[in-house]
Amino acid sequence: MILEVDGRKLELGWKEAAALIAMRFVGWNAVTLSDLELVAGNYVGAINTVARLRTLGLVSEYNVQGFKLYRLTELGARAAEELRRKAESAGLWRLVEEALGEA
Amino acid sequence: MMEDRLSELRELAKAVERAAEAIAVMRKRAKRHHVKGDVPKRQRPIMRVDVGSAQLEITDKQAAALLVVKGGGGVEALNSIARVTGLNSKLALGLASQLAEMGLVELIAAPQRKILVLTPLGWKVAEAVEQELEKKA
Repeated sequence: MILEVDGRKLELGWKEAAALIAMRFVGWNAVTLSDLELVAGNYVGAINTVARLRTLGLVSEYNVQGFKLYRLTELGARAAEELRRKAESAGLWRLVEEALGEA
Repeated sequence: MMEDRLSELRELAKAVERAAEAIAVMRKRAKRHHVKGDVPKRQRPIMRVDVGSAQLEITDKQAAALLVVKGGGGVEALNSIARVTGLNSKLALGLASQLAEMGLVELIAAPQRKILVLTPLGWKVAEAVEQELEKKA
């Protein structure tokens, strides 16, 4: 899908879009690779998804003591908000609201 | 054109569905790691640092934490702060939150792991702390 954010056109696959939504709305400001595996389905998918998001400037990586954390950049946060807007207008956002309400 | 829109909508639906599933699992997992920070009570002010027109009072534990993060190149794990300051994880998180409120660090936090990143102001203060401690030594 193509997102337009700050005049930039971003081409995203569904895994990348899902990662942006999960990172923005989960309720804290960073995620682990294991969290991203939940989104992408497996380790290789998570690595590829985060690599693509980093290339697009949507995610930053922090590597401390061999442990990696990933956080949305400002552009990434705006892209996630744009995805939310699109999902709301398509009537799809209820799923995320339910997930937030369940836990 | 219509087909493109439908395909994009299908991709969006798949993304939202997977994100919702992941969020639900991540939030359930997070409950196992939930720690609420408490600011350590026993802190001794050791110096004041000029920041623009104001002064920041820095305590012994804040100074130690800033030096640990600076020593890590500006990024350090919260458990290193706990180890150096002798605080448990609850108090170390409180100390980190206090430094974040002062604008000296950013707390990057996932439930399982938390790291501190020095802000530009944090670098300035950490350097001032280091110089002051070198003078005293």
